[in-house]
Amino acid sequence: MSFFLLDSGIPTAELTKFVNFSMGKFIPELILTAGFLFAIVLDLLIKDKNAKKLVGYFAFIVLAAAFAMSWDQLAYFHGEMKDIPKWAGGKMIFPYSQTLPAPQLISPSEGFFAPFSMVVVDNLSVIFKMIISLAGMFVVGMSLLSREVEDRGRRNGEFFSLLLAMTLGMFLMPASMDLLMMYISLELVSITSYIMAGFMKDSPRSTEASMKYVLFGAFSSGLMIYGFSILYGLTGSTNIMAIKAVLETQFLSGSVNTVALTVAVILSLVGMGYKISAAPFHFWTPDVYEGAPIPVTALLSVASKAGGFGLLMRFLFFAIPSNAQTMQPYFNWPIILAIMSALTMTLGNFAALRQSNVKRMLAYSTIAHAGYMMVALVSVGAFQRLIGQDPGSPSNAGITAILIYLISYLFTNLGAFYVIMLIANKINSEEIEDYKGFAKRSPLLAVSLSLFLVSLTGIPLTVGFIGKFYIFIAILKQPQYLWLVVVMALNSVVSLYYYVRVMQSMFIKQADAQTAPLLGEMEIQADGTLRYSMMSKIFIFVFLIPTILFGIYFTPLVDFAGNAIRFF
Amino acid sequence: MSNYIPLFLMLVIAFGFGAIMANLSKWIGPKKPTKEKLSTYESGMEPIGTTRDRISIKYYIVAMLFIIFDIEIVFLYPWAVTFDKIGVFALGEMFLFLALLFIGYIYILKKGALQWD
Repeated sequence: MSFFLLDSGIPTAELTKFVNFSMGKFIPELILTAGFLFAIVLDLLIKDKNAKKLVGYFAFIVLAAAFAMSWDQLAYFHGEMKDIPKWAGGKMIFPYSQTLPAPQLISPSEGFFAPFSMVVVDNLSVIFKMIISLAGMFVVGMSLLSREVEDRGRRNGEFFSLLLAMTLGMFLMPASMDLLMMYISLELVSITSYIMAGFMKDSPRSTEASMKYVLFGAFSSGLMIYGFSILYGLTGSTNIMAIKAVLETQFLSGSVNTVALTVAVILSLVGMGYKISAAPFHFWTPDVYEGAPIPVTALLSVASKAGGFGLLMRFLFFAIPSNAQTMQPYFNWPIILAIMSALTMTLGNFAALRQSNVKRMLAYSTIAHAGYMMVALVSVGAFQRLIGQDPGSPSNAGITAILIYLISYLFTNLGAFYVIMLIANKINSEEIEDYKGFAKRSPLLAVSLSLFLVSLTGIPLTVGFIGKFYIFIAILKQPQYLWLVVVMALNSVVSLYYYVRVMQSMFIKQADAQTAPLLGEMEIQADGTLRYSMMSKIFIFVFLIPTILFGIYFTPLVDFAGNAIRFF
Repeated sequence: MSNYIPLFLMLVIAFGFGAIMANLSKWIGPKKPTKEKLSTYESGMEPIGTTRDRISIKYYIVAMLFIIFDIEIVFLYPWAVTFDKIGVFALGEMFLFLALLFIGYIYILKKGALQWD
């Protein structure tokens, strides 16, 4: 129990009740921790290298349990909150900092502090947790069908246990309420992803990816912690709520050190921008995505990015105060983010045009998508104070848009990577040239990959369109950022070109002498198609059905994402 | 900015003084080397080979694991000093921490990370 809680004058018995209560709100993370520990023990117990897959099944169950418990937390906020301790008078204790005299009491209607007020459990973090654990489950499924992972069966146990540890880090990222927790969760995700990117130790490409990732990651997290240290120096606290309170008084009295604050925020943005691969911190993305095994690439592009966005939202919304009259943040971070997002999507899209490797192309496309999501974040920043108070307010539209986009991106991008993985399993290549005539080899795969790519472009009747549409609505409510709408619309047009190139290669071009030798001879059936197991075919529909269904009937998606506006 | 000029001067003087003092004896001191004077000082060892020797890459894992368990010990010190203030709760926390590290220890042992070959 932290010292300032003990010194707060609240009776120890009550505090114990509080700690027990908040521990109960930490169950998804505890499940993942226990699951990780059990997974590494399980890995030791299994001697047979073909049986190592069991760790994968176990990881799937753990992630499913974490997903279910997160879902339960979401439902909890809708129901009557019965188990709030009576002694608190219907209010939760809020031990926020050493610098403020006494623990504050806040209304529990929107969220809870998990242990030691380091992390918070509210709708926003719960929805992020659900997205992340769902992505984790899909990636475990993908890994079990991946040849790259299967060929290294001896180390499969490590792969899946690291995946659990990484998910734990990603669970904590959007829930962090303290700079230290933010840093630790980010590092937990980073370090596990370095190892997983280099999982194919025998492949120079994978090792190079891992090395580049480590160097970039170490550098940007170093800059980030430097920014955090300046922020701590300015405010005297690591808790972001306390930082906000202190900064607000400083802004009101005019005693704020603008230069130091700008430096601190920008340095912090380096670390978070690196995680979501926003320009100009995106340089690691293409190499790492190309070199890592495809399931890992898929996980990095969806879950780790979602976690990064959660962290960025927490940091910007909670640490930076906004003016009560104009509703604008005192420190104008939306403009920094707007410039970054314009840069990110333009750079991502134009670099993707020239790629010949599908994985590399999708890496640049994920950079572009990070740019689109940052647009929504800009729209929230412009009217920060209205969050949660007025259902139609622009900031709420922005938060909903980010989550809709993340969910749409989850199904679409994971689906695209999954099909590419299935193709690579057989032809052992990810070059667009080698996809020539693939529509004849496997019509199902070719059609579904095309649908995923169409959805990534954002063409109506797919979920990708819904995501983009809501971002457009959100940013259109901010007149001063109309230029960003134009940039985004133009970028969407550019992106169509490189997505269509893959389809053109699969459907219009004919397979020639070059592509044929890539196929193993026994893989081709009598009618010229490739043999895929029933399981791997069924798994495509897990991604394909939501992509189409939510594109047509999107009310549940929007309602679900709309929950997120009720947060602290 | 003018407030910083004394600081800057101090910096220059400090570096200059250090550099001059370190080299002064080299410049003006008498040099009469004998074989005894050039040998290793009293209880020192006779150097064998170069200090920039190549070390087996396998050593890195031992070094890394050493750091991990070293930090474990570092954690134990402040815990032991404040133990009477935080009581049973801290005892449980520390044992949980040790148990987690113990699982890690078993893991590296079983994975053969401590075997040289």
